[in-house]
Amino acid sequence: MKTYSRFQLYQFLKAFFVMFIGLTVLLAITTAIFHSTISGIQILLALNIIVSLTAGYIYYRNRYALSFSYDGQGFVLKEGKEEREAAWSRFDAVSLYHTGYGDLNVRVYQGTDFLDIPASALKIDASDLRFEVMEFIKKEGKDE
Amino acid sequence: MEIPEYLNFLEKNLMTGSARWVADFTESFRKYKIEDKTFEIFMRGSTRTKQGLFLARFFAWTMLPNYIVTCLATTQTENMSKTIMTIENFMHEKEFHWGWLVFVREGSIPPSLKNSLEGVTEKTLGVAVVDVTKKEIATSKNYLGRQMTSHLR
Repeated sequence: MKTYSRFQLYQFLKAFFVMFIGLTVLLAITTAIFHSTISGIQILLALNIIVSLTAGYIYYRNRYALSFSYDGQGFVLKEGKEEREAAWSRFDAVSLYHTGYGDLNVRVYQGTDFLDIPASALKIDASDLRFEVMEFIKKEGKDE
Repeated sequence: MEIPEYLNFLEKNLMTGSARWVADFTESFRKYKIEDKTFEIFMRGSTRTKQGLFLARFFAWTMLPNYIVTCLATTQTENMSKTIMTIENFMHEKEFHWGWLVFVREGSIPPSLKNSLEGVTEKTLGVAVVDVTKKEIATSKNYLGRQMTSHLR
């Protein structure tokens, strides 16, 4: 089985900033409630960044981390904790789908239902993968 | 350039290249069957783009018509008028507002094909013939046909 997995910096930065802003707001509220002044602001900022990086990475792994494995029979697509596994024979059509900003997905259809394989996010050539999947679907269809 | 290479170029140009200023072709199928004919490319999209930041989206939503559009490419240049009729029916059935039909071939475009293009009177379908070896392009004389030239090369 071929496996593709890429670190997505944009998604990680998103997770980091969510955590960073959340912690900063929490700190500001705590300070306001206890009417205290913040001392050692540089240390607090450094701690905030370290905690945000760690928490952001955990959030990224659980929510956004992408991994795609496939062979002639089927595929496994993982996005965070969510995992989808299917045989190519379940699908009857394949297309290339432009999500915007030049990013392409390979979309596989089962009747009117579809599933997107985020090829550009995984740094796979979407056009090549589409042709490969077309062959898998054709072959699997013939075997049935 | 050979036909498969040109088809890849055409697909990429329509989805992410210059044609985005005309329509947002979001989805592309290969080897798509319509009646008894197999088309090398079938693309669909709309004239109202869903990309960009807030202002671009607001502009698109308020100012641009939401036309559902298609582009098809085939390498079968024989029986051109029958193919055009098939596509006109297909567009009507699937409720496409307008479409482009591209006949891709290797070798110079014979006068008979050029004459067939003259006969295209349907306003909602632009038709073009492309010779991939010399990059020669002939289009129908209607507005959609004339618009195609710059996006096919």
